[in-house]
Amino acid sequence: MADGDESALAQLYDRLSHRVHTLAYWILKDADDAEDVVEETFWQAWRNAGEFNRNRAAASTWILMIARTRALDRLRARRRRAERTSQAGASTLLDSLDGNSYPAAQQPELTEPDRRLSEALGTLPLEQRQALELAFFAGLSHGEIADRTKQPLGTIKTRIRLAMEKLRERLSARASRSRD
Amino acid sequence: MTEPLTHTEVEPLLPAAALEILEGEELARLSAHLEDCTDCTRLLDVYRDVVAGLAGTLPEQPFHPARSERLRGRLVARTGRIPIADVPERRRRSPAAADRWIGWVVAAGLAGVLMVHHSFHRPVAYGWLAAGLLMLLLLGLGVYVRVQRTRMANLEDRLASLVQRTEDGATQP
Repeated sequence: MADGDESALAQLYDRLSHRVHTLAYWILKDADDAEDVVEETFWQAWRNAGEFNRNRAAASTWILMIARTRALDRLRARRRRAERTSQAGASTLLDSLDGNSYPAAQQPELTEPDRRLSEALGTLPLEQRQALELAFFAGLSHGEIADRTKQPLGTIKTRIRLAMEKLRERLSARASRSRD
Repeated sequence: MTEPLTHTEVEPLLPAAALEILEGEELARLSAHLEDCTDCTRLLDVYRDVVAGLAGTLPEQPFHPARSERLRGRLVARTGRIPIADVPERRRRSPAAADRWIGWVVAAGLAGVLMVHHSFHRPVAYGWLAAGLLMLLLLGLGVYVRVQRTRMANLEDRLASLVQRTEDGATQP
């Protein structure tokens, strides 16, 4: 794709557009916005194809990270608009954040890594999972999550770190690394 | 100036960095460390795999095939290399082919300028003047056509996009 081969873009789209759409939808909870994110994601991938390093990440990881960033940008813009409009808007925001929890996965056709990750998610303590969900789906910072959950900042940082470490351990042996 | 972070300080920040929720000084110091540290960069990539993997565990949200197909077509069209079969006859000349003409048009324009310049001797060489003006006229015409074609292509894309969205709105329950 970095060589300007549009068929590579088409192939990538065929392979990943459903996953991008699904991710964008669960972040934004809006089908039209999710569709816009799909277009923006693949267009950004096309334009920045030269930045992709296959030695550092799989194409799917690269694309999904772009998609999540684009979706969260939209969500944050929506949040800012709601905050500007009124207190009622802020209430709506808090209500909508209640919806930012991980949906129950009922997918028999999960790939092996995804299945391991899904199982690992299920084993996370509730408070770790809640903190991770607010970070993953709403893109809230540590401080914002602490405000929202009324927990100390350090506690939130620890919860997110522990949750991610546990998922990393389950996901792959690639996580191990040696360091002197 | 702030102290650079050590590996021990960086490692706990990597999960949040992969989730892109780090802010301010923490983010700046982490970025500075990552510039020179391949080990931490590699570990950050592993956490990014986790974040991307979380997307893979979400229940699939149906993506209407027709909408997906239209979006795919729009994307390919935006690359500037629209598949020949999908392009109306009058737009089949590729941008690269059109760009090749730009060189000839510029050459014609320069020749026109030289001809006009050459014609201003006493007595005025009306033949050279007419040829030069004709060349300049052709140059202006070429530029005008090029601009109009680009505008028309953009308008067609926008129109197609609007029509698709209207159709989608009409077919969606």
